[in-house]
Amino acid sequence: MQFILKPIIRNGLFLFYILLSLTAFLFIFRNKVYHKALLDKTSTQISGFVDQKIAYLTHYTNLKENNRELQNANAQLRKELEKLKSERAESDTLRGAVSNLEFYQTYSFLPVEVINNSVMKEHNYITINKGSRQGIKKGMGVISANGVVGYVLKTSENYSRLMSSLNKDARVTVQIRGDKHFGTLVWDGKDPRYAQLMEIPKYIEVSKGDTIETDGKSGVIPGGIMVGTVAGSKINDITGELDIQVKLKEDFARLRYAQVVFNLQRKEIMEVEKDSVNAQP
Amino acid sequence: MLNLRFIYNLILIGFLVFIQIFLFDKLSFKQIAVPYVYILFILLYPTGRNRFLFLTLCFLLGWGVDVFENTGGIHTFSCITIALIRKPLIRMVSGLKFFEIEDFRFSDFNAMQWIMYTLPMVFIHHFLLFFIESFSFVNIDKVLLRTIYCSLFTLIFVYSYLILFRKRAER
Repeated sequence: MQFILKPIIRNGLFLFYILLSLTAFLFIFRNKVYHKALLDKTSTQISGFVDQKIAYLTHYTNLKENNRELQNANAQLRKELEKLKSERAESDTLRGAVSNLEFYQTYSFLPVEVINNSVMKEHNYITINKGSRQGIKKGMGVISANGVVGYVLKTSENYSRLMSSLNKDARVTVQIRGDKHFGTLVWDGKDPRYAQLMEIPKYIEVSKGDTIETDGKSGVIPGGIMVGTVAGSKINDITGELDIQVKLKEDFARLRYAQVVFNLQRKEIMEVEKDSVNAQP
Repeated sequence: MLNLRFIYNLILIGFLVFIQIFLFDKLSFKQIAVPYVYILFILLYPTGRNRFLFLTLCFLLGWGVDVFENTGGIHTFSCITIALIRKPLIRMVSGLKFFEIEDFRFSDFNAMQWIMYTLPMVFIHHFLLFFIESFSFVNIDKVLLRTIYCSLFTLIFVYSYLILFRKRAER
């Protein structure tokens, strides 16, 4: 018995260390545990509360810049409104009035404020100041005037945690404007100013400066939002597809305001997709 | 175990996690380097106390930071690792014999010994942190560069603390 017990007692500290590191690695690699959900909620609540206070104090510092950006966004929206007005007038004369709100609008937007953000890690997360009380649910998309901010990962009553687009696990479906070929936008964890566009076949001609926009197929992010421009492309030796470097329009390090996307027909889309899975020929 | 000192340490850990999350994480230099000041707890914990308890406290400290930074367990692992190598390192730096280490106090250290002690501790902690975060050898150069930047930044804060507040702990 002593043969067994003596080494254990002598190396007790080291064994204890091994035990603790195994626990730590368990924390790193585990995904779906009930306690994690509980912990997530509490930590989101606490950090959201304090971050809100900090953001309240610090957001005066870039008020000028924010104002300018809002003005720009306003101008852009007004321009589009005028365009739509004229189009609508045109269609009215052709078909008569259509008074269905849903015909014009399938998305609604909830303005939120970013109260915590990071860009230099490989897995970045963002906290915003609205949560389940305002109807935000897990999986919703979040956009800003300059592109896709991320997806809602978890919510507490008044705050939500987003997976930033600058996260190695984040995927955004985008297309090349004009060409309409769609691919996946990912981030390699290196430079927060650039993202990578994958899965574009190599026979597509892509030139520097081409606009990349969202394609709206996912149902959580509306189509036609400009994400960035092509900064360069080369053919990947392994997959034989184009690797396109995209210069992001959004400067994530200065992100202050964003909008959560509510798809009003999300339920309908999900029902249709569910039925098609069940009814296999 | 549940005496006054233990509760004091728990409160200290809570405080360190709090200022780390809400103050020092936001003090990043050009979004490259972040000071991880909470390891001051591990650096300055008195020697000669129960090491099992010390490891557990370090585990709690790292885990607290992990929960708020959404990083799983990388801080936890880095913390307990430097907590384990702390005693051999102190013995090496101070040059004390095996039986003298029980009486050791940090006020015995001179400036050179402080540097010899803090530099490897901070470097190993940060390297483990960023290495496990990326978990591959592909961008090892980037990991090392970030380690060096962050270590410098952390060391500035650690030495500021030592110079400003540590003097009155003379024997």
